[in-house]
Amino acid sequence: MFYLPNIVLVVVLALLGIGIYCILISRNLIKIVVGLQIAVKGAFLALVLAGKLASQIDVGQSIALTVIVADTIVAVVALALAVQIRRKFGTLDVHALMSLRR
Amino acid sequence: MGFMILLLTGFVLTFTAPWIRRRLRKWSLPVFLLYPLAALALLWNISETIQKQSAIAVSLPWVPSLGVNLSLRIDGLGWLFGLLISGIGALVIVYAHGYLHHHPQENRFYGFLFLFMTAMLGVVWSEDIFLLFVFWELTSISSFLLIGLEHPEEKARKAALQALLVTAGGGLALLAGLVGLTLITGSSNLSVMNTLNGKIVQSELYLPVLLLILAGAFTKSAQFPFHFWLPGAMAAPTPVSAYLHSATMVKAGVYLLARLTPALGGTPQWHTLLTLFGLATLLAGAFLALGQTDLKRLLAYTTVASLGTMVFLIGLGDSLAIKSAITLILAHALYKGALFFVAGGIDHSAHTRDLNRLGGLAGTMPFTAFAAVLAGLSMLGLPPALGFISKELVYEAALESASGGNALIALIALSGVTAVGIWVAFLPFWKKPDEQTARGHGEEITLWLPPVLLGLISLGLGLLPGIASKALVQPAVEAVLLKSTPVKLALWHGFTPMLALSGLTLAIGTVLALNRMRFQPAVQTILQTLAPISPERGYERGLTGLKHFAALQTNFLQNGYFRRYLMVTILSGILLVGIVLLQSDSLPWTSFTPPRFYEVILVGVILTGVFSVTRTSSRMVAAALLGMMGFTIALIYLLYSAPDLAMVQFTIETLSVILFVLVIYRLPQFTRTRGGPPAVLDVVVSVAAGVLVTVLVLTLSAVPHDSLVTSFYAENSLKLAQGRNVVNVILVDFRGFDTLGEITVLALAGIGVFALLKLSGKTEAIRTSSQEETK
Repeated sequence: MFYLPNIVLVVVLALLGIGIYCILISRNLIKIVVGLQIAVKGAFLALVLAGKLASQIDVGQSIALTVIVADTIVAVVALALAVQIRRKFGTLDVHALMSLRR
Repeated sequence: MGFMILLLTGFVLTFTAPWIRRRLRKWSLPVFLLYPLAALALLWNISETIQKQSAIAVSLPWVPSLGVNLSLRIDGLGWLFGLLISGIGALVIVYAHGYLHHHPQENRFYGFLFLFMTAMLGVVWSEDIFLLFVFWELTSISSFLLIGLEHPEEKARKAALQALLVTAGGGLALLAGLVGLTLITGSSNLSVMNTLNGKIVQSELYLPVLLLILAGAFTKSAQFPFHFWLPGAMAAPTPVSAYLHSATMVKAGVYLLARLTPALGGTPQWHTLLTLFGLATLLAGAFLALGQTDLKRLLAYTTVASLGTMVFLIGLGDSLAIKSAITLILAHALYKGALFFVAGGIDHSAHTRDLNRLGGLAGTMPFTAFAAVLAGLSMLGLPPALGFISKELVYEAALESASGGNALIALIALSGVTAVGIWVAFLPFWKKPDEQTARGHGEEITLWLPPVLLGLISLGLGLLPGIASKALVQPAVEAVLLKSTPVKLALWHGFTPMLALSGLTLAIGTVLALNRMRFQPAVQTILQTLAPISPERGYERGLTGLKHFAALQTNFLQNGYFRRYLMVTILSGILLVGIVLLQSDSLPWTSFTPPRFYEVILVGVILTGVFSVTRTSSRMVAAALLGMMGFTIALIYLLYSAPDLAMVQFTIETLSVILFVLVIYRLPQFTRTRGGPPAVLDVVVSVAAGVLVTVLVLTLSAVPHDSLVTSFYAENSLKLAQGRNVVNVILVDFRGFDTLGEITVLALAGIGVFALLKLSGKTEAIRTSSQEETK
């Protein structure tokens, strides 16, 4: 069995940081989805790692599995929405969706 | 048990009454009357028990885990209130059948009315204070619905909201107070609490609990400075004003104070607060009433004054004061209910409630005029009406209390009330009509019978004070004081100071009443000058302030920019978790293990991938890189002895890449939407979020490893679920329903995506083709 928590932690940090940064600065809906995918991948890793470190491997893994599926649902719906938004508004710029606020 | 069934029937009627009304039309009257009459019959049935100063109690478990039971206990006080609620309720039903005929909201009115009637009976019969609270809030809600009955009018909506905010706000305070009381006494039973006065009074929670409960009672009973919602509530139809806002609901606060007298009373704080607020309300109500010309508003402000008197008397707290409070409750419910009925009858006939436009109606409405005289006698405190006895008692109690100022204040205020009584009960009928006067048409039996009955009861009880004292007042007084207190009401006590004061009140009142035209404008001017500092204005300011604050907060937190939403969420997360982390122990940095070379390779691949994704402008490359990262992560899972996870990741990742490619194929190229230097805040927030999660994971290794959950799964996986793969067993067995839910969500998402992509595309196609046709 291998223990490699610390080097993988760097990956967690990088994925989450870059993913969130990507979401924050993007106005393109597809880029936001990509950013979200990156950040969530960091979250999976963090979950599995946490399970490992806390000696609760099975719990961490079973929750990570749930999150993987949930994330896929999110990505699929988000992409479908993106296609629809493109059809309706003619753009993928999220600022163009301000009219949804009211 | 009968009482419990009665209350449940009331809730059933709440929902079926509109339907019954629609089906039976005017024949619904006898059906509806069955409910209050059944209540009266039940009360009549136990009258002997009540006379013997004992009580009827029933209890059913309701929320046993919280120790809340459906316990009812009907003692003398609950019995008297029950009689008033169901008796006047029956008359209100009769009256409403005439008054609301052809009203657009007529059907649902009866639903709300039954809701209120049931809730009010529940309030006065509850033994458990939390049950009482539930009923208490239900009366507020039904009051809101009834005030807003004519909701197309803005005035009605505003008044309804105002009444709800004030009374329900007080209700929240009351709940906190009741919880505090339960904490002190360890019981939620009223009769248990009422035996623990010493313990409650000595507790350090006493003052906060007292203040909270008083806030609840004062808002409900329209005490100064919360009195303003009651005149506003006059936007409700007259049967509602007569029932809720004079005879019953507003007395709920007074009821609660009387009920809790043995538990909370007898302290200087109780005495001071109640007498102070009571007298202030009495004065304010009387003075405000003198400035009004609308019949209903006149009555509303005198109701405020009477409620103040009741609170003042309960604050005095000796047996004489309680006796006079109970007598006043009875007398007031009878005459004020009747006068509201009369005012509604006048409104119905002459189509105005303005004093200046009313006069000479005695000829066209003889029965209503008769009712007005009967009720007016009681309101003015003239013998032989019950009001005379109650006014004498009020003076007696005020004189017996330590300060003579009480009696003086009562004299001034009650003179004002007397003047208003003369205006309302006599002016519209006997004043000589002039050119301004509105003409009235005849009267209907449904509109004059209820007030005549109430007036006759009031007169009868005054003529036979023995019955009133023995049967009605004494059991209630004893239920409040929890000791045997003989009550002997009498019309004639000889020449006493009370009689002199009573006479003086009448004299001043009459002088005031006759000179209405001379001083009323002056009162109105004073009221207008005071308007900017009135409590009502304060309430309005508070409401506008709240709206402004809400708008400000919404504009800040939900300004429509995605970035702001994310920023707020992440920053608050970092802040909350970070504070906890900083307070915990230092991190276990020592556990660092040197990485192996293939780990370094995997990590390097992922890092390169993620950096390239952010730099690339090709959509295909981005999708491919995402996939590559996913597969590499799956490899890391493999190293972590998580083959299931790796398999899922492989599958999902393949699917995601295909999907991305399919979608991206339909969409335009990436364009750089944001140039210039990277925003510092964005960088800081993203790095902070990453660091936070990393630190959280690290902290976990410092957590003690004796978690129960894991060992439970490890032990029971094979034993209970016959599976060796613990992760799988958790997913399909221990958390089977979660997984089922997830499958459902997945399926729904699939359907949703299909609908998004397919269906609306079709409608668009249809729209474009039809547009082409029109061209």
